[in-house]
Amino acid sequence: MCGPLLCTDRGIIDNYKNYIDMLQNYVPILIFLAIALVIGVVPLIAGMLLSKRVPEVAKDSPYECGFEAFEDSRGRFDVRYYLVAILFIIFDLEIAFLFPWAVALRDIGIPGLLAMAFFLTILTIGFIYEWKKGALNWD
Amino acid sequence: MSFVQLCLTTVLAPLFGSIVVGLFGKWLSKSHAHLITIAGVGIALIASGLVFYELFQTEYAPQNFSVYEWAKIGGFSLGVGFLIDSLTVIMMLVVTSVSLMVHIYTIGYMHDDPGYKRFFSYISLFTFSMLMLVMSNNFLQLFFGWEAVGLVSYLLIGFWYTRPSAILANIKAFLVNRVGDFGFLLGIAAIAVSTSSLDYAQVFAAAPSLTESQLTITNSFQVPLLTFICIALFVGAMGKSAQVPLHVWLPDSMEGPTPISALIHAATMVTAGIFMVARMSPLFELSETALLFIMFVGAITAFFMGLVAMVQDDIKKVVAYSTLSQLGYMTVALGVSAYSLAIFHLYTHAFFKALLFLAAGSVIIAMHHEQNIRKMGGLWKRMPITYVTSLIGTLALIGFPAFSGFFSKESIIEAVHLSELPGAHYVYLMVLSGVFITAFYSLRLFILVFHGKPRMSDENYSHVNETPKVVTVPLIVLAICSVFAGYAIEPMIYGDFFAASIRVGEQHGVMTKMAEHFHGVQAMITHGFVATAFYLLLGGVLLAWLCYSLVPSIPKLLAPVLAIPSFILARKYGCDWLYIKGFARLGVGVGKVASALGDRILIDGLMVNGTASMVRGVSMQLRKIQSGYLYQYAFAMIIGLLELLTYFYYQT
Amino acid sequence: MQIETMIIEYILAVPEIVLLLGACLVLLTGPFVSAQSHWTFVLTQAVLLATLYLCARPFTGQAIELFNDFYIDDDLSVLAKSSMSAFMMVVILYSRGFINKYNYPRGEYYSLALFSLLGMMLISSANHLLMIYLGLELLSLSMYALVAMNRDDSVSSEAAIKYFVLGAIASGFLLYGISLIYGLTGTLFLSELSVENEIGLGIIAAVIFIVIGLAFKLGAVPFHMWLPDVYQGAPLPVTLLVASVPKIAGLLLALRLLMDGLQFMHEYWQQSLVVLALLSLAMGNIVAIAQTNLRRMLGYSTIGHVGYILLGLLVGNQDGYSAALFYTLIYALMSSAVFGVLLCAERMNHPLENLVDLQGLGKIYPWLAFLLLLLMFSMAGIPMTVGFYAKLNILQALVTSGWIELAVFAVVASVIGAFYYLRVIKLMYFEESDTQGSQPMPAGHISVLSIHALLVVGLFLFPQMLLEMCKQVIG
Repeated sequence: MCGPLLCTDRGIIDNYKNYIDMLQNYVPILIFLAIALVIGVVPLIAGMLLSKRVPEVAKDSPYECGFEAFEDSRGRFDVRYYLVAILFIIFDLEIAFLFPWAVALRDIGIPGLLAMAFFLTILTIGFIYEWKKGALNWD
Repeated sequence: MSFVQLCLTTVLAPLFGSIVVGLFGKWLSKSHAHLITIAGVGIALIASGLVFYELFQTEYAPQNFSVYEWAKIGGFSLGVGFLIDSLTVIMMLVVTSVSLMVHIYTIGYMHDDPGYKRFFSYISLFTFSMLMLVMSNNFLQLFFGWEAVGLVSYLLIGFWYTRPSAILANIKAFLVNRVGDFGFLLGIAAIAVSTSSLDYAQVFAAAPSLTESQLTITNSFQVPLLTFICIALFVGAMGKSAQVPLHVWLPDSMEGPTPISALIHAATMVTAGIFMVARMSPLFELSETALLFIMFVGAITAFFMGLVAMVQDDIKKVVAYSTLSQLGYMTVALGVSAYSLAIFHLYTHAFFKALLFLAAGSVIIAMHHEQNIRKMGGLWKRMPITYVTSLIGTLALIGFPAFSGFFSKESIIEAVHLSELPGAHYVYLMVLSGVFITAFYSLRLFILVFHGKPRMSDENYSHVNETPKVVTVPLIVLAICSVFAGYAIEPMIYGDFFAASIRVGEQHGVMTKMAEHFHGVQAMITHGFVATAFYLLLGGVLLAWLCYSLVPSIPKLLAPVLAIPSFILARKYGCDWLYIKGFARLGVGVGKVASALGDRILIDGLMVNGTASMVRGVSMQLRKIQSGYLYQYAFAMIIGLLELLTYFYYQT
Repeated sequence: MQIETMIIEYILAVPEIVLLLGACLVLLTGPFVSAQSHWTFVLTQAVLLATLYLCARPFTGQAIELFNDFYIDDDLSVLAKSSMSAFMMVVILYSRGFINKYNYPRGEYYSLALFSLLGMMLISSANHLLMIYLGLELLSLSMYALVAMNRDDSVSSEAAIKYFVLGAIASGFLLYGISLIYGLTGTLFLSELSVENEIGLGIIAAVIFIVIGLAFKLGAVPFHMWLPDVYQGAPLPVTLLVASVPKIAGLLLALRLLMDGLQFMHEYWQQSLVVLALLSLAMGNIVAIAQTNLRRMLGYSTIGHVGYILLGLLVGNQDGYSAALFYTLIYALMSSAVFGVLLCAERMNHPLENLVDLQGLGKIYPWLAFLLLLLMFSMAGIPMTVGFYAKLNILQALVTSGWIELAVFAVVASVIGAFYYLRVIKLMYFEESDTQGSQPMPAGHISVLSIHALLVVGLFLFPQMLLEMCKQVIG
């Protein structure tokens, strides 16, 4: 395929203009990326330059709780972490559903309200169940 | 209760009793067992009575209805249904009433037997089967009942299953009946093929159009279809109703708990064949050949089996051979198209033969299970009720005027006399001489048992006592019936009782001629005293009296003269010898060879075990596919998917 | 007006609503009552009874579409739902003793069973591919959890993980097929599926993916691998559950997809079903012979039966569908009764795990052995039991539409199959064992089981009603 710059055909030049137009739409995203990069990198660099360093084992580890970040992935760990993660995902999804629902509530009316009430009820039942079962207790 | 429910009650009440006592007998006491079964049969009897009443109300219009469609194969319907007409209803009454008597009598007779409940279950099951047989409106149900009574008879004959003789007898009965049933089944199959229906009404309607049809057996060999059907069906009847040459099982069936099972066999079950032929009268009327065949078979049975009865010493066997002979009479009546007379004789015979069997049983109980009449004698003093009732039964059997047997037997002889079938006059002579024979052996039995000096020790004699009430009451009831049952001849035979259920062709007008000669019961009895048969009867009685009472030395004197006939008779014409040593041994021989060569080497070795071991080998290899590894499972699924996709890719 | 239709829709969906509420209630009751409490059991049975009562109605011959046509209420769904609820009641009843004996978490077993039933009911009434998928996932997820219920048993966990992973793959296939269908036809409503243009490779591929998803659910070769492992590994009550009710749901899934939706593709899916059916009949019956574990053998026997069901389906007309439906109902009846027998024996401390455990059962527990004998006869398709009619129907449907070779193959396969069914009988009655049957039979269990197993004879004598029903619901 010939590159757009080398072509003299009229139609291809039109296409080329469209191409440029399309790219222009993404300019804000480019800017957003640049800013995000700056915000992300600047504190790190600032920290490196400005802080006083007293290294220590606990401080060097990524988290002070949980398990090691770098070790054999087949190792054993406490299944309770999974439990918490799974329970978290459920309620996370619940929230994720609530956002679009809240935006659309005006349009979907009473049936929508009832449907969400139903959805939340089911989740609540699950919540009561896991609570009562002791899934929320660490010990 | 509707008519249908009434019919169902009749059939199911005994079945219920049988199932309850048979399966749950462990938890029932003896008295419960007999109460339940007697209640079942009692209900059946009452219901039969009501059915009779209903039918009477509608002037014997046949009721034909189906109850349940069991299966449907194409347009071929197999079901359960009832055809209730005068023929059926008379059989229902005979079956249930005799069966009820048997039930009551069994309480006394089987009192100490460990198989008490089992026995009640069997005889109730028998009642059910017999009712299914007679009430059926199609051939399939008829066959079911037919086989079911065969099964119960097998069970009853072998009731005391620890006795080798009982086992031999029940296998014999079963096998001989199989021969008959095979013919029966062929007949039914021929009917099904030619009319594509098993329903009586449809078959009878289709039958007249089949008179010209031929049945092709091989390309060059054809037989008239209807003749084939009728003779095949009659072969079944020969097995069940013990006609020569399939009669050998009946005398041996006396191995069962006598005389109850004997009674079931002799007075009820064996009549199934007679009933069946009468029921099929619309078919049999269309085949002259079949009727001729039936007549001759009947005559041979009546005459030659009577002869055997003359030399028997076992009280049951005498009665058994007498039954064979009487069945012969019924068959003769069927052969000359006097179906109603056959049924009428069946009906009177049921009463007096039941009476004789129960009386024999009563004697056997009193004699502490001694059955040889040579060891009896003079019992009339010790057992007056049994004596009197036996006398009545004997008079009825020999056809003494005014007793029930007289009406039926005399009529049959007269019907044969009037028949225009070729060879009927020979048959007439045979049945006529049968009267003499019957009189002789009956009186011989009677005199040897009840008269003369006791041929046993005095001590034994003094222990002989009249039997308890459960035994004597049925005897008395049956005795009364045996006297009066014959008076029903006027409405049953010469009225239009059977008009709707039995069809007689115009060319066989025996019964019409009989009706012309009939001038009332009174006249018949009066005429009976001057008929040829009566003189033959008196002759038989006198001869028996002469030989066994007046001059007891005559039999011994005549023994050398009669050596050859008595040798033949004692061996029952060698039938058993021929069947057991001949056919059976030949069959076993062929079977052994076939088993060794064909079965063990070819079929078992090569084909059955060969394929089996091949399948097993394949199986052992294939199971290895199931490795247990998850990734292989998933792989198999993907392969399957790819295979299917590729297949369709190349298809399109 | 709109409210009225809404109310009518909800009234027709009352069985499902009651079932859902009941399942939630049972789930909640579990943790709140003591471990020995019978409340969960009573509640579950009450919910099932209510569902059955609400489902069962006389056939009308009409189909009502609800909830924007997502849901359909017709005679077929009525028959399926009522029979599934009834079977579920029996399953729960048989399971109870085992659950109590080994102290399994009760609320969970019962509520998962109820949720799986809900999934099956959704499948039965689905008129939309997403609805089918939803029901299928609800059913499958409940099943995975149930199979894994005995957490401390490695065999059970292994079976569960296999079932889960393979199930996920199969779900993926099904979903992929559905998405292709949507791309090519522009709709997901079963009654609207059709392609205007000539049938191309795309739609064929979609059908194949869907058929595979189906084949996995039913357990047809080569998508059957999970089945013997699950039968053997899962706790006995779960095997009972897996082996009975979901088979009906599987068939309904097939009927909804193939009959309601893809009938226009009949000649294509027919060919793939022929392959699957032949493989299933051969594999199921032949490999079952080599098994020594009773439950594993029953698993292979299931595969053989699935072959028969597929034979009925592939005929693709009313005869075939109704024969397959009849077969499936009868199969569920027999299979649940067989596992009922195993559970009963287990309760009497005579577990029937391997074939050798059957030795002398005829002497030890004569009645139980007799029931098993009847069931084995029925599974082998021997007359005097309804299994005969089930097979006969399928063969009839095959022969009338010209598939004589398949019918012959099926008969040969069932002759081979008869071997291992009869071996069970041989072991029970012709082998000796020193074990004594000391335990009394659990009265409730054995009485229901007796009626249940004797039904195979009863239905042989009176098959007409059920046959008619199966014909009638396939409109």
